[in-house]
Amino acid sequence: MRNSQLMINPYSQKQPSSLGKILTSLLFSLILAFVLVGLLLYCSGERAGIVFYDTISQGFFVREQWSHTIAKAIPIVFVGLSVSMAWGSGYYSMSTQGELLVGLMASGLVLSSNSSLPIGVVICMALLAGALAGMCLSLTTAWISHSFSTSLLMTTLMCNYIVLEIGHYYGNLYKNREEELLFFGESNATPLLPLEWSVFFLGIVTISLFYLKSQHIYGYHMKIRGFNHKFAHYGGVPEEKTLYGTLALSGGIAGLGGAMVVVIGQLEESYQFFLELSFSLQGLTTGLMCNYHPVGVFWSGIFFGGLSVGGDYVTAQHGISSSMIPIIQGIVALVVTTDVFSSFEERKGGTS
Amino acid sequence: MTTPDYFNLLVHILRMTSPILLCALAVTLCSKVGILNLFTEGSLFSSAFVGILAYESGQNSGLAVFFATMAGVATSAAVGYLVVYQKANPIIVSIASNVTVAGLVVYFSESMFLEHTLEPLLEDRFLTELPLPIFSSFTYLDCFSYLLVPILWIFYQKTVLGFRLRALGDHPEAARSMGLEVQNTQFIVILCSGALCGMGGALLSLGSSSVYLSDLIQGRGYIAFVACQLGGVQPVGVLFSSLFFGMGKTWRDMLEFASLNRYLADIFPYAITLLVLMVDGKRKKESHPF
Repeated sequence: MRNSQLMINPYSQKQPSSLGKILTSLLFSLILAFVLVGLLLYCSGERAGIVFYDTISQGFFVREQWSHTIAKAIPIVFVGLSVSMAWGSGYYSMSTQGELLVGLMASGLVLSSNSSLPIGVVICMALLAGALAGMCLSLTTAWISHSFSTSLLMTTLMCNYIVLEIGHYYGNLYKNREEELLFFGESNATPLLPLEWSVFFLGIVTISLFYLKSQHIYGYHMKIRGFNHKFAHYGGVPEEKTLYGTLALSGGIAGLGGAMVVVIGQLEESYQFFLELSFSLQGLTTGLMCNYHPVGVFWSGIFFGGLSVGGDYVTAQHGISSSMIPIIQGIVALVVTTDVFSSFEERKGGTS
Repeated sequence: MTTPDYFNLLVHILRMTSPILLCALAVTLCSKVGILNLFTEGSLFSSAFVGILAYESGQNSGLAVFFATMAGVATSAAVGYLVVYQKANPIIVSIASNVTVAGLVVYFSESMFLEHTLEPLLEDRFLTELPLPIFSSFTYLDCFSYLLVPILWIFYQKTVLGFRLRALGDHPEAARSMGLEVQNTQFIVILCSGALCGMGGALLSLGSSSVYLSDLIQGRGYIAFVACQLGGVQPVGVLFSSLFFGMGKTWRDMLEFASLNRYLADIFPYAITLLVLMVDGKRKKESHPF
């Protein structure tokens, strides 16, 4: 059965799963990832238990660190949601990082040039500008891919590299010349939007996407297209509309994530991090490990935000590299993707 | 610019190209048997790290290249097993494995204090002792990467095994009906591609760079994937597309000395690639409208 599905489309998605099954699979893969990383730490002569205790407690149970956890989680969740929309529909877009960056730049420009307007209006304008900028980039890649029959993966990868270089260019200006500080404006000096509001906003976006994917006909089209694009084609799913609509949505979410980073005042701290390829991959794996379920992405993003904060603490306290966090993410994504847990369940039930 | 300067520039371009070429050929090998290879980045990371580690341990560059190659093979074997035998989605597994391997390399290099830079090791060692006056800075691995292009062309165009591999990629079911072990063959090809990536990683870490290990790869694995697609999944085409990226990197280095910002200069190869893809796509669309 599994082989015959793959013969139809080798890159098809797994069957849409229930949230419970996804969370169980995620839990299993997390335990496995922690065991493997624990072994790694043990082999390096570290006390894995203490390292994990510090990581988890600092990331999730120390009240003073919660704001850092949320601030770290917000861009990861937005990129994860963006990936879950595009990749879940079978559109392998690699430009989510670029979309977040253009969103970030656009909102920065809006904030720095509209300082006389009321704060609420400026925030709305900045968020809108970020979403539109991300959407524009994503739609451009969709247009190139569709009109010129180029591979979407390669088109988005190239566009992402171009935007990254532009980001590096502005990053250097921002770092080196005082007058260029105006580019991202005084927006970074004080957060315009409190973190609580940003979490509320993120929750609304997540629930909307969950509704779209599970209840709306367009979400059904996206899901079917991701599961088997040939079936979707013969089943009457409009290809062009789905391509443009899905990528516009995906780009808009990523751009919104960039704008959100600016309005919560995290840009100065995180800008260089957003230019690294590892950030893009972290966002991607967050989306992948939940089988593109929006609610799963929300929680796993928060979880990895906490781990990231805990990782920074462990690096400072124990001198252990914070790269153990991407290792955990990678292992979880690998285990979830290869469906080890399901295979185990099938074997146990004798159904394979 | 004097004549020797032109030669130096040419050699520089060729040396910048060779790691990309090795990886692009690795992607080509996999593409020919119907495997989408995006995990070259991870193989490059692991082989670059193991290459440095092996050299630090044994002070022998030949052994270091061997171990780097084996690291590339091991990484590709792990991913290949999941893709070929477990039928996992190759794109997702590749990206997840790239994240994991990069994290492992950074973790180990930081815990072993290997992040400090090494001078290019192959410069004065056995791999570079080419008896050619102009290409004296050319390593044997560089030569191997360019020799591999005609070898692979002959292999795919003129040999029965090459024909069978192409058939496997075109139609796996037909190849299976002819008695070809599809999965095992794909897995062996993935191992070979891992070896090529391993050599590419060795070239990067030991041969031509002296930068931080975590900054060494710079997305070359993904660039190799693009070079393969741009070259039409043909060894000769891949050579030219890799040369194009090598020239882009050289041009970037030159512009660093000029007034243009290096980041803006970096855009050039990607923008041109996008343009070439668009022209090529349009041409194919017009020639095969249905």
